[in-house]
Amino acid sequence: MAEHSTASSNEYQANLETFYYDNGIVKLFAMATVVWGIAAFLYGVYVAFAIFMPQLNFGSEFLTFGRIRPIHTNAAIFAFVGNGIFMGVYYSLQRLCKTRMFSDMLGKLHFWGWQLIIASAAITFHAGITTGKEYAELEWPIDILIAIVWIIFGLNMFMTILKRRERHLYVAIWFYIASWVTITVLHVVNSMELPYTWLHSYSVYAGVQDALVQWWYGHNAVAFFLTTPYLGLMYYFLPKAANRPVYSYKLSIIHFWSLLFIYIWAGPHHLLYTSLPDWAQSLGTVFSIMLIAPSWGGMLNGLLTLRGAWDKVREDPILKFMVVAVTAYGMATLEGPMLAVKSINALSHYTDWTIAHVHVGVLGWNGFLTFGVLYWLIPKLWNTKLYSKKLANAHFWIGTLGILTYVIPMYIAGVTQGLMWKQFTPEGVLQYPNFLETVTQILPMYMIRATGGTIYLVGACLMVYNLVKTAKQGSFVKNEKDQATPFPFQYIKETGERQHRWLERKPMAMLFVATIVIAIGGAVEIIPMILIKSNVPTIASVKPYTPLELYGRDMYIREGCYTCHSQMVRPFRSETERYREYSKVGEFVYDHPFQWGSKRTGPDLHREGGKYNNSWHYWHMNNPRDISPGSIMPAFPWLLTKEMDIQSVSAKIAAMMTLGVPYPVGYDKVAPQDLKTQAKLIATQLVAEGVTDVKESAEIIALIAYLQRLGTDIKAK
Amino acid sequence: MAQYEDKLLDHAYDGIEEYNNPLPPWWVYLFVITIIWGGLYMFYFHIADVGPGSTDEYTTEVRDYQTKFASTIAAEAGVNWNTPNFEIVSDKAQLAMAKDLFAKNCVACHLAQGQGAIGPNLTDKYWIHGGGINNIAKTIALGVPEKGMITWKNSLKKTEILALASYIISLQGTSPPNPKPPQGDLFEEKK
Repeated sequence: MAEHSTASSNEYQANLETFYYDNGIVKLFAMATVVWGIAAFLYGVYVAFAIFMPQLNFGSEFLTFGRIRPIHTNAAIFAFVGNGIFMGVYYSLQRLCKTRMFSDMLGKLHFWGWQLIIASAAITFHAGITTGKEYAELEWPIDILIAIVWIIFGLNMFMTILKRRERHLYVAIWFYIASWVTITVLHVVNSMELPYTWLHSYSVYAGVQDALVQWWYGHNAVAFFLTTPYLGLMYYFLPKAANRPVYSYKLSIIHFWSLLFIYIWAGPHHLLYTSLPDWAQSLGTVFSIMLIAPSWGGMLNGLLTLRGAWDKVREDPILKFMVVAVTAYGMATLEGPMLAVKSINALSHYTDWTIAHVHVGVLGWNGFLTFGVLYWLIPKLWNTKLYSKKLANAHFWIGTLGILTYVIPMYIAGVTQGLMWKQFTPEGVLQYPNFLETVTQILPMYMIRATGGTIYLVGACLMVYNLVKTAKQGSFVKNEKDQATPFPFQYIKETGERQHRWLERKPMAMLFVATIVIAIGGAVEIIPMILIKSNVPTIASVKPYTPLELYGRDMYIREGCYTCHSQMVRPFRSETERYREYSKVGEFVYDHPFQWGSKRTGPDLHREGGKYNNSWHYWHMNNPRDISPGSIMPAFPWLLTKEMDIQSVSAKIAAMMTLGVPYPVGYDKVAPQDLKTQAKLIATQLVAEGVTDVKESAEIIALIAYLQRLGTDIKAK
Repeated sequence: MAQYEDKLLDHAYDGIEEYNNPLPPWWVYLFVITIIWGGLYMFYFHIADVGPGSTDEYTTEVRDYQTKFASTIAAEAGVNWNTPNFEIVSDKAQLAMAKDLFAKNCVACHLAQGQGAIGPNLTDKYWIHGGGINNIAKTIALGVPEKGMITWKNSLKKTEILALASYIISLQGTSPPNPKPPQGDLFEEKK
């Protein structure tokens, strides 16, 4: 690298400045990537087994599926990929800017702050402390910590860019800038929540508004956390590893800006056929389709960069990982828009098809690109060669086998179950009215999937061994020397310069333009939904939850019921036959947060109220298999014994009142009394139905009250 | 792609160079076509308002069903469940089908052999809502929603309900293990 700068600037030899890159921070993030990667895969394998072996929670609330699944998803996204982003950015940014990071101190704060967030996430999720919004489950104090750490990262990044020695910003840095600003906006807007204790809060948005904001966030967390930063990494590490020029600078420009503008609109495709107004659903569909070309622009620029280097790809495990990563990216970003077409989504939504889709993305694109980067980077940092190319090759094949063994059964499971849900007999009634039948059918697929995940984990363990051995045989270069000419005061425009070139040397202008570009789509979709009341037709019979029901709702959120149950009956005959009346937008106006869910491992619960009697729920929660032999739902025996914190309901009701839920003035004061009265009633019914040892103050009473309330407001129409 | 000359731009970042290749034409066409499609889609469904919305699709689906199965629906709707006068079913195939239905739908509350758990014991002579083919069929069809018994006539046909009721009668006196204690009144079939 040093030779390049020297050779290209011979005449300024005298002016050369010597400086040192900070590899220490890169090493920290690299180690965190590996450690959290293994943790995320381990949790993944655990939930993959637990989904068909409910006894794996060992009767412990801390290990139950609904709490572990968010740990797996958050660990994969924010711990594994998150640290991967920072590792790649801290390495490449210094070199692309020809300067050391602005501040070693900020880097350290960033690193330890991020690890603290991950550790608190693991602890709070095990403890059932969650907001109940997917991939944004962390509670408010941690949300604030995320914002602070993220701003530290941004500050360090921008100050580094500002003190660069290179006039223009390379495409990788455009992606870093855009990702940073978009994640900032997404996190702040979606995490708007009203705390009512030190560890609990309610989303300020309710029902359909909450759903839209949440999936605008959820979709763009995929876009601007899992995709754009990794495209930035691809633009640096792929040409580096292949030692080939990037295929097309023009394509970089066009696909970067179009991706930025279009991605942000596509969130509503997570809510097709729900109660979200049709116009918003349609925007989700069309912008997803328009996203195909911009996404593929990245894939093309990656793959075409390897033209003339395919002989190297055959030899080099690093390039193999990268090629499969970019191909997985291309496949996932074609499949995504297809799943956003309403007729396909009608089949795929709530099934394992979605699970297959995201794992092509995370295991293939993020996982394999990270592995490729690590195999390239660790020998560089330790100034040595990779310990074993053979092992890396083995990891490549094992990892690929793991991905295939994971996703193929999930595609089969998704399509099979989706079709079974919709299948009518020739007489026009549901062929499989019993939901459990559609679950038992796909259990073998779940077992194969768990094997696939395990294989992938084994591959990653080989990598850990290989990287540790590599580090041991080399010696770590903490400060890496480089030389470059200082940032020139005068700039003579290149002949025939295009306007974009101007933007490439004005980082703050680029930040500004990127912010505008990403703000448009979100604003057009979200602002009308929040401002215009007519988007939420109110239904007179829909009333706020009673204190006991609200308490039960918080149990529902705490146990992560939404990870397996939706509360959204779509307007299909196959659903109204199974679940009754399809869900209306006005039914959710007091739902802070919404609980529509995204996956049906169990049946939809929106019309659960009154379907069974109280003792059915009592025994079913105690052990689902006593009631439904063959059920894969975990048992929740602790609900029968744990006491409610009855006084805490005052704070819950008061918070809801602040959010505009129309309880009578001063109701928060009498709420505990009302809670006790309703609890006594349910306990009496349970006793009448033959349940012995009923505890009036047990949490199960609240959960039963909530489940029996679900969807009943408009039932007696 | 061979027609491109792969001209290098005269800049490099940390040694990474870039070609000035044009956009692949098929990629540009793809992009333009998806944008046009997006415009047409929004026009068709929301501006011209010609395409059906989600709930319109549902209305059509239900109407199609009602047209196609008009006679079945009318026959099922015409069944008088409140004061029925049914005959017990003895056909072996029908009872086998009913056994299957029982295993799928009833065991959750009445257990596999009908000994009762959440729901009452179906094998003794005591009945909360009356025994015999007519009472049992009525209880299955209309349910007892306040006690958690589902209204089955929405998902089971008349023939299925009758077969099921007959199957349940066949369980009388089977004395399975761990029966739920009797509930309701003693019922004797009038001969």
